[in-house]
This record gives sequence, structure tokens and C-alpha cells, in this order.
Amino acid sequence: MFDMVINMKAQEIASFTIGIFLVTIGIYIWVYNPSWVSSVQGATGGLIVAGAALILISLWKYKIRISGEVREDERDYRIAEKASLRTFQITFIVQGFLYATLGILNIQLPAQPVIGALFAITGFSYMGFFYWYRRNM
Amino acid sequence: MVMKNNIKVWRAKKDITQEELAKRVGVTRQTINAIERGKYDPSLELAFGLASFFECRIEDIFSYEK
Repeated sequence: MFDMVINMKAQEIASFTIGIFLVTIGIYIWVYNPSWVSSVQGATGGLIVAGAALILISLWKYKIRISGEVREDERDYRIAEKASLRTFQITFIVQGFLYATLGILNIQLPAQPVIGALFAITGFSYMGFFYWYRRNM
Repeated sequence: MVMKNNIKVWRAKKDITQEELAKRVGVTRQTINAIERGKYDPSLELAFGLASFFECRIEDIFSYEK
């Protein structure tokens, strides 16, 4: 464990530390239900998932770097560029359509579910386009 | 205009696998496979890397055809 920390790059350490911090805050909110948090489940879920993702990503990057194996290269970056652009276009269209519809019908929605839905659309759209381009490139 | 290549032929001359070539030029096996199938056009850096590995000119590996 100590060797691993010594061999980690600054970026990996920062990512790992922020991950631990987010998970700790998430657990704190889950256990103590502080009064300043309006949605305990939402805050806990978001913080723990984001923190765990950061921890796993930093460990994964460290493992790949130490093994010397090439796991991503210029083709992956090109695919990521294309997937990002398509995701941006989709998200932009969905947001614009949603905003226009809500405006026309004068519907007021709670912010949290809407942001959650956009978050999910962005994530799934990116994953979908990434795998689609990877299969075709 | 289509970019064509004969990496497969050069690989056969050197008698190496896609995996070995990928390791030597610092990319994944999937990238070498995609280049061979004409699905992906490599960067100039990678093209020079391949030419350097096969000890030939870029034009000997890649060609641009109408």
C-alpha cells in the first residue's frame, strides 16, 4: 500500500484523495442526516458514486501505468472526440426541446429530477456513441 | 479519395503479429487491426513510427487513391 502511494502520480493521488473525501462526506450525510441537507438520499448517492468512481479510475490508471501496457491510444482519443461531439449535440437538442416545451406549456419542474435526467441522458448518450464509434472505427 | 495501406504485407515480411507490432509502435492491437482493415487513418506520428519500424518510407506503406 505504501509503495503504491509512493509510485502514484500527482494527478492520481489528487483524484484518489478527492474520491475518499467525497465518499467520506457522503457517508457522513447518510449517517448523521444533517439539517442543512434537504435530500439525504440524493446527496448520499451522488457523493458516494462520484467518489467511488474517482477512486476506481485513479487505481485503474495506476495499474495500467505500472503494467506498461498500452490500453488507450490515439484511436481511442479520436473515438472519444467524436462521441463527445455527438453527445453535446444530443444534449443540446434535448435541453433546448425540454426548455421550449416547459416554457410553452408553462410547466414548473423540480430542479433535482431534471438535472438527474439530463445527467443520465449525457452519460448514456456518451457511452452509446463511444461504443458505436469504436465498433465502426 | 481513400487511404490504403499494406501493413499486413510488411508484417508478414517481418513475421510479426498485430500484437507485437502494436507494442513496438506504442498503440493497441485494435488500432493496428483497424488500420489494416482501412477503418482508421493513423496520425502522422504513428505513420512515421510504422515506417521507422519497417525501415521504409511512409509512401511504401500508405497510399492515397481516388
